[in-house]
Amino acid sequence: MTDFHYRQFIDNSRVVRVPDPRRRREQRLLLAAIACLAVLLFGYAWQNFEIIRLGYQVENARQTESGLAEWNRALRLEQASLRDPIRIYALAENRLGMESAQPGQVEALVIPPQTPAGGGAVLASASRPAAVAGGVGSAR
Amino acid sequence: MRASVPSSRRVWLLEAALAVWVLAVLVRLFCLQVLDYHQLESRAERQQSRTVEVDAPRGMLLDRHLHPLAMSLQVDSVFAMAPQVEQPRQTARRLARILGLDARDLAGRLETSRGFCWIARKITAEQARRIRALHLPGVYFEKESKRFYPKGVLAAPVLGYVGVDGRGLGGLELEFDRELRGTPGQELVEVDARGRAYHQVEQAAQPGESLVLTIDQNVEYIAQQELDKAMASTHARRGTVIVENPGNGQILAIANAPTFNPNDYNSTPLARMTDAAISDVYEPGSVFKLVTLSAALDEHLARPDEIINCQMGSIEVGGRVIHDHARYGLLSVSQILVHSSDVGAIKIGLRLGDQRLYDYIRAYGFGQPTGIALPGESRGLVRPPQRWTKMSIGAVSMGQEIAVTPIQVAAMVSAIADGGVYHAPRIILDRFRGDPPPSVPSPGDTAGRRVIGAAIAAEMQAMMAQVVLQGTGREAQLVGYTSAGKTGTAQKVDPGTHAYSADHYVASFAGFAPVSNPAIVILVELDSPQGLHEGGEVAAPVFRAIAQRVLAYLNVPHDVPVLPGLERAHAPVPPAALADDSEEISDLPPASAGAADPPAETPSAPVGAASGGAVVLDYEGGIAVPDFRGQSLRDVAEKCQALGLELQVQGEGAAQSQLPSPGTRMPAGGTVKVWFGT
Repeated sequence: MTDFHYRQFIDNSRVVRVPDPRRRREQRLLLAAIACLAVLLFGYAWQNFEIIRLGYQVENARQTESGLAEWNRALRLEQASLRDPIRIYALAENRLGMESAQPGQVEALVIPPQTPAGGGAVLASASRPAAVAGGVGSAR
Repeated sequence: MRASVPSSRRVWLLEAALAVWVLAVLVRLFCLQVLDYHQLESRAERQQSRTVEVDAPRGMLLDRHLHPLAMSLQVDSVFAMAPQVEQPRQTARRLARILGLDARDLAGRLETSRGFCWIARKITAEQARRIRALHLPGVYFEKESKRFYPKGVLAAPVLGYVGVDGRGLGGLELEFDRELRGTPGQELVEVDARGRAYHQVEQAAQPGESLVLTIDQNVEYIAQQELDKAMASTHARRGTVIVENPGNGQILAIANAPTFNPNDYNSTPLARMTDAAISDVYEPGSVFKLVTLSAALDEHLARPDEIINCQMGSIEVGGRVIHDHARYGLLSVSQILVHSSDVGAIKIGLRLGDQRLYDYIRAYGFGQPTGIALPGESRGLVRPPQRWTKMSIGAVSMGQEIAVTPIQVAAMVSAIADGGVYHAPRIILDRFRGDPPPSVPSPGDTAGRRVIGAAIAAEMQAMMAQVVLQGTGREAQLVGYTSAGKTGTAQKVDPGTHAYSADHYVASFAGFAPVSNPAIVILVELDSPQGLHEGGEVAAPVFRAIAQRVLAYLNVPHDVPVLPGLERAHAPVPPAALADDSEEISDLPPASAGAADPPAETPSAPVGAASGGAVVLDYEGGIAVPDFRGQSLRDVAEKCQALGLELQVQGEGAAQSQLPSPGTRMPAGGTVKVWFGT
């Protein structure tokens, strides 16, 4: 049996969609909510990544601080080695030709200030140095 | 025409497929995040988190001026993960060349090991650099702490040394190992896929405690240098020098010879690493007469001017005849000490009796440890009077049948020098954690116990001064300072015959200077010197050399004038040395210019200004430093301001001690340091 279909042309060009303010508002609210949610999610993610990035920086700074502290200790050790009395004495004796003052070689002369003694050539003139730190303090 | 699937059914099929896919994803998510949650979390933790134990930095050992004597640094240790080493033999060869190891042994270890394998620990920076440059697969580095002793042999037995695992094995390193090591910490580190750390939670390590010692590195150096010279000239088997502050018992130096370098202790015999000053015992000989005579004076059983018949050098005690080293007749008590008469000392000891002499021996600290904070201290050998024979009183009176340690003798002489008050010897001045304090800690006073009366001590000091001026200790005379002491020459017991040897002696000298206001006590002990062996001949000159230099270093004012008009002893300066370095050091002409005096014949000859020039110190025209002790900060500050002196203050309260000492002359504008306390 043959079916017959009739085509009916309907012209809807004059149909105008009636604006629906309520629907519009709902759509805007939905968009705003999604946007807020997106901002929060991105913000959370950004914080997370920022923490990790700062963590790298802190760790690098910690390594740098540790390295500098160790370098400081190494320099202090080097300073202590350079100030070794055995080394100083060897340098003074062998390289500079110095020797320890013999007993009585340095004398306290009773003279007025700024006046050379005995009329001889003054090789050095100096005031007595300031008190040496530490030591035994007063003798008693 | 085939019937087409209705569109609604296609949509339904599509929706069903989509639903199945979503369901599968959800199920998988459920499995991962709920069912396998704990397993995956722990796996992630293992991959990303590492717990690292952080070693606490070992505390430092510093001298009294805060100069480091021992400190630790992080150095590289090299290890291998054997499975990752591609060519073990070649790798071993290359490493062995740099590290000085046996290549075959190293190759064997790399081949047989299944994992971690140490190659070398605590290597030098240069070795680490060379190994890194090789980029050897499977070879890695780890940081470990290594102990360094920048002053080398100075005070080595006192400081001790640290083993490869960072544990103290001798001296202060052993005694205070727990305090020096501190408490390790922990770090929980989170790492990314590349192994870089980005987060860590730290339980901080507590650094070890650092110790400030009473030792002065410069005094230690002087003592060690002079002792080494004496050892070289006398060829003694062993030598010890102790320098002590008699006012508070602080040890300024302990020197032993032979000694060792704690930076390289592996090749050192164990006997050299012990501190003979506290652990070796010896019969003190005549030095012990100080105990006998001071006890008799304190008990009013004798007077310094009392005449005693020394029986021409022979006395019988307990059925045995003891001979003196000379045939003395009548001697005063003072002369008995000056000439070191054994007979005289025995007669004085007999007056005391066993128990009283023993009581004074114990009061002076003999027969018991001094309590100095060093390991291995011997208490010496002092038998109780119940175990003395009839002859013991005679032997002990002259320093035999008793064994003492050098530190005990030094403490005894310090007690006499300090007016009869015994101070236990101290080696620790202060402790701290972390960074060193900005300034030297205050010396502080320590309570002592009275052994003999102050007047008796003064009499003993005068007698000991006579020993140096007229007696057996003449070699201990100083230039510009008075000195006092007692010599000792004790026969050693021959282990083969168990009798006193005629060839082996312990020569010693214990003394202090200046006599009027003792600043230092020095004990010198030489075991088995060859050739000359008397204490006055070999030990007293060492005392003189050390005392002269240490008193000058400590800025102790002269208590007797330096004799004027005598030739200066010095050697001309090699011009070559000055030609290279004169620009660096000074613009002054060489010291030899205008004065070419030959060196003195004897080192003890007093010296004075050279004729060609003078080093002028004009401080005698300056200001005499007052005695600030006991005064308030305000009073001290006002006085300093009035005198034109700069004041440096430490602490609070009343002035306890000062530097320089009262009476020292200073130029205007000089600095006085005063310690205050309660």
